[in-house]
Amino acid sequence: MQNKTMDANKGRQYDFKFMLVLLCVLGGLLKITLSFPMSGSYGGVENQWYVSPALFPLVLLILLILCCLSLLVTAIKQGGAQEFLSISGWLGNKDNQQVRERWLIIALLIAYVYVYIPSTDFYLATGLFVSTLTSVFYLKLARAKSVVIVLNSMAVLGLILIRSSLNQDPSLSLLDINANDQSILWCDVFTTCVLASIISWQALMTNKLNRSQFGIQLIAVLIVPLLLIIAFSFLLFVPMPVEYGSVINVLNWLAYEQLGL
Amino acid sequence: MIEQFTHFFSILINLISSPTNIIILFVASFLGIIFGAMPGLTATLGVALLTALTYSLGADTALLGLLGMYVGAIYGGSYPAILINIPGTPAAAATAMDGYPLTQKGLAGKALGLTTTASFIGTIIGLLFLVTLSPLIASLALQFTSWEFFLLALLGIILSGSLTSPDLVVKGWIAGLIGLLLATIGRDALQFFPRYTFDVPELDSGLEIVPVLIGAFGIPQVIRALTNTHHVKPPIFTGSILPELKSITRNIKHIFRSATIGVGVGAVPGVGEDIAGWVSYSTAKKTSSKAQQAEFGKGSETAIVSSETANNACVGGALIPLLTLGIPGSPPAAMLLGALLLHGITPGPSIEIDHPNFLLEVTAIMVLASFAMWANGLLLAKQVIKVLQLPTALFIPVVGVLCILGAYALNLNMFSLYLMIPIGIVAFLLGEMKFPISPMVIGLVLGGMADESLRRALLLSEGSFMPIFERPVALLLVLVMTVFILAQFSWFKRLFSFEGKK
Amino acid sequence: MKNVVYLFCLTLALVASSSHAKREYPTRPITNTVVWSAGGGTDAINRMLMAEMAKELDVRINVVNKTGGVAGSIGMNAVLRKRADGYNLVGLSSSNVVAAVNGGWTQKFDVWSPFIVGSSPDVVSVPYDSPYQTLEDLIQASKNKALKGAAGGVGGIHHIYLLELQKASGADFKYIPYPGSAPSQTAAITKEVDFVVTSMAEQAALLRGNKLRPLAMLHPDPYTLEGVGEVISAFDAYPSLSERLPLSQAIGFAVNKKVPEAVKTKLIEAFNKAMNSSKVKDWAMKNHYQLSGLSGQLAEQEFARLESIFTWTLDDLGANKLSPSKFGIPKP
Repeated sequence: MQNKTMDANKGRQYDFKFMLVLLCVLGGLLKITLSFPMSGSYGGVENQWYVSPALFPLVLLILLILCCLSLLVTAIKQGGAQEFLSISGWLGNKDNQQVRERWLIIALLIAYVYVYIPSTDFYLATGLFVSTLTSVFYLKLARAKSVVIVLNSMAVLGLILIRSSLNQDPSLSLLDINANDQSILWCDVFTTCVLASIISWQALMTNKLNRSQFGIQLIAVLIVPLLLIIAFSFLLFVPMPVEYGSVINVLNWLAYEQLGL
Repeated sequence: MIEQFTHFFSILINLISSPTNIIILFVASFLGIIFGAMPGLTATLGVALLTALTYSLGADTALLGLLGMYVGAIYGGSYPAILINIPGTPAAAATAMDGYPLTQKGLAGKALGLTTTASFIGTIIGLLFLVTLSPLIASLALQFTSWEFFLLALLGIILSGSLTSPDLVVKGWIAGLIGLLLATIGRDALQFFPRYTFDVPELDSGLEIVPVLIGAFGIPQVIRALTNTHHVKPPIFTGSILPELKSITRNIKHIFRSATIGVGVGAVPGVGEDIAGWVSYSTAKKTSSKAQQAEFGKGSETAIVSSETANNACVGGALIPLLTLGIPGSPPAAMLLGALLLHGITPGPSIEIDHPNFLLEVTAIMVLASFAMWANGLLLAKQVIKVLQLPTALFIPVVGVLCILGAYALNLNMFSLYLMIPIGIVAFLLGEMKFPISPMVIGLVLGGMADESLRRALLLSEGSFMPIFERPVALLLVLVMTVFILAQFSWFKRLFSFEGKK
Repeated sequence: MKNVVYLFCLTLALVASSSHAKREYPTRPITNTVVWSAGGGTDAINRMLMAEMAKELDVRINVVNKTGGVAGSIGMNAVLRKRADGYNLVGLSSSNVVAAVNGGWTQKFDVWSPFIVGSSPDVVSVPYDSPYQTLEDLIQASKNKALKGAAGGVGGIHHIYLLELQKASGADFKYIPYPGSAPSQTAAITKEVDFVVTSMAEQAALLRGNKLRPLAMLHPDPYTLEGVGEVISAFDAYPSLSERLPLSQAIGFAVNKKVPEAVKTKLIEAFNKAMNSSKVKDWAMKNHYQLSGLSGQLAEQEFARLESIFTWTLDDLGANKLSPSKFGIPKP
């Protein structure tokens, strides 16, 4: 019972913080909304209060602010304002393994989507993503977390470095898909090296007991993404994000030049 | 009438007498289920793909493939919803609420069997409406002007208020309002004014539903499944996939009501399967007894039956305005319209002049498609459950990749992914703080319609709200809404039960 | 182990760089990215035409949809960034020319080399049991009380037609925006609006099924619709319409202007053959499209004209973000 009230108290503390953040965001949105045209002709449609693009957002913002305030009051009543300044109250207890693992996955997802996929061949990006997850959660290797953090940070920094130094068109940002042949080639080579180091590290670390686990894991890391890419690009005709990546180029060459599909 | 029946059967027999047709039907239905089951690949995309592949075939055979795909894809979305709590299509989002708890209890097979049969019955009931009442429903659909669209959206929003948080009621409202606010991002439909786009051209067309859906449901699930400290494997399912007759008859009331809702929602132009599932789910909850209501969200049979019947009945509903007026009732139906045009068939009021008996032909094809779906479904369900036996830590990373690839494949847009990740993270944090996620997604689906229709309606009436009380359908919607709102208050309930006892 | 991996990388890189085919275009499938959603007019025409062109080019042509952004800017941007090798086409229509002035991208339309398949003429219609029997009735009535009209989205081709009609006839219309042609037509059937302007292709089924009644074509020639009869041209009564009209919907596809001439020639050849095939002709007739078949320089000129009219009309409405003069688009 004691535990439960502790939990509820913790929950209210989160509510309190979240509501404060949300209210700040809503305040900002309210300011933007008030700058929308309220009257006057726009886009060939005569404007009255009831046609204004601000009408619906304003109603929503007011309702949302009321709801937030009511939750804020509830939270304060139940002791939500305590521990407002402690870091663990914001990011979760850093000594808790589960919390750390969750932040690791979130960071990896961000790296995968914002850096790996737009820079390098989809197969290599996916291999890196899956092998990182399996080393930590499936093989559960010793010191796995520190190793994958180091390797993935290297990959992120390396890819950003390669792309920004080989970028010729200043209007393209890192979030645009890599379309420069040179840059793609170097990104692919670099990612392959990182992927190879992860796999060879896995091979070194696994002992006889989990040899078979290592083998099964290789299927998920190397074979399944390949099958997925073949299915998507040759059956569903979905071009991969980096269309001229090395692996997909080889597959295209095999499929169209050699097999003549 | 009898002549129609004999004609119907002659078409049916004609269709199944060709083995190629049967093969195409089953393959298309199978592919449809796979499409629906992959997060991100939707019925619309499947129909689009098959349109190209069936271009060289005859119109009948092509339609057999296309409708097989459509029905299969709407059904297939329930697989990942039930098994891993990630709805494969927006239509199956409501199914996840109760399907996944059933899986955790080790009843995945039962849940799949139930949804398969419910989907089948739903499609057939939708068809019955299509054949018998399509002129009537079409004329009813034409009663929907901007006011009715607005009220329908509002009703959906109020209904979703019943999907509240396990913690505090107000949290559900906050999530719903955030969803509605997300729907206002992009160019406003009336004046083309950019709202909250921050000069990012990609935001101009607003947020896509599918990446948001996958972000909001898929990413939190990936994070949670991998880091769950106590790995409880769901018990292996041993029973029969084919549901007992008893569980069907027990829910017969809900099946019929849900099918009617599905047909109705489908017939309204532009409103599709996703909304049908939610509306039916909430209505089932509202009309259940107290004991049953407590089961909702924890693995209620009634809940999954209701949402799955409705989203499949919606297919028949969506075909009604398509065939009688040439107006597609849902996004996949819009793609179907394109496919029909490609084959030189123009659906609409002139269809009976150009292609007599086309309606009967479509019905016959739909009957076959739903049989194929049922048969495929029962065969597949047994195999699909085996996925649960795979080690989570190996299986979930692949699911994560699939979610990302699926969201990308929908419109080949990296921006969808850039949006999906923050939404996923926010949804995960909201979930940790015990905010329900579903109202957010419903808000996003309905928000645009509510906003645009309200303002257009006011533009037409020059700022007056009077037309609501002059239009019969609008008045009916207002009435239903009032009853739902009043039912929240205990004095109203007492009033009712008191009268009931008399 | 490491050495093996490096060796593998090296072979991979070598194969990758040598795998760009040196054989004659086209050797692998072509992708046509349609910037409008699946099921619409541009999508349908592209799918049909690509199936015919695929026969001529002897490779598969995949049609994918990449919607969103400002007037299809996301799809156009993506295709423009790909290699100019002729393996990437973009399916578009005249509605895409406003992408730049609305802030979708920074290019003038002349980065494309377009191929115009055709267009369907616009028609003014009223609900079937409307009191207005002729276009004159409608315009006269509007002078007493502003009539409500629907014509697709703001700044779209049908909206421009509506504005031109208003200008030429001096009528007083209240334009009600809808997200597309289909909802506009539905609004006319439900009598939410008094009349609707959309294309013949989109309306034909409703006209033949007696849901809508045509008043006049916004096109120099009358149009004969099977089962309905001849629809007169509004140009006879209001000659000043011909100043800017007709505008072509210019549905078709385009390829990066930088592709090699040999590839362009090959595409034009296949395009011309497909346009002359009986399948395309039949389809166009059945679906009320008028085929154009412009390609190369003529198509570029046509698009330049459309770009100028569309963008400056938006400028008059004040519904654009940037002035067309910023991109060097001349006034019509």
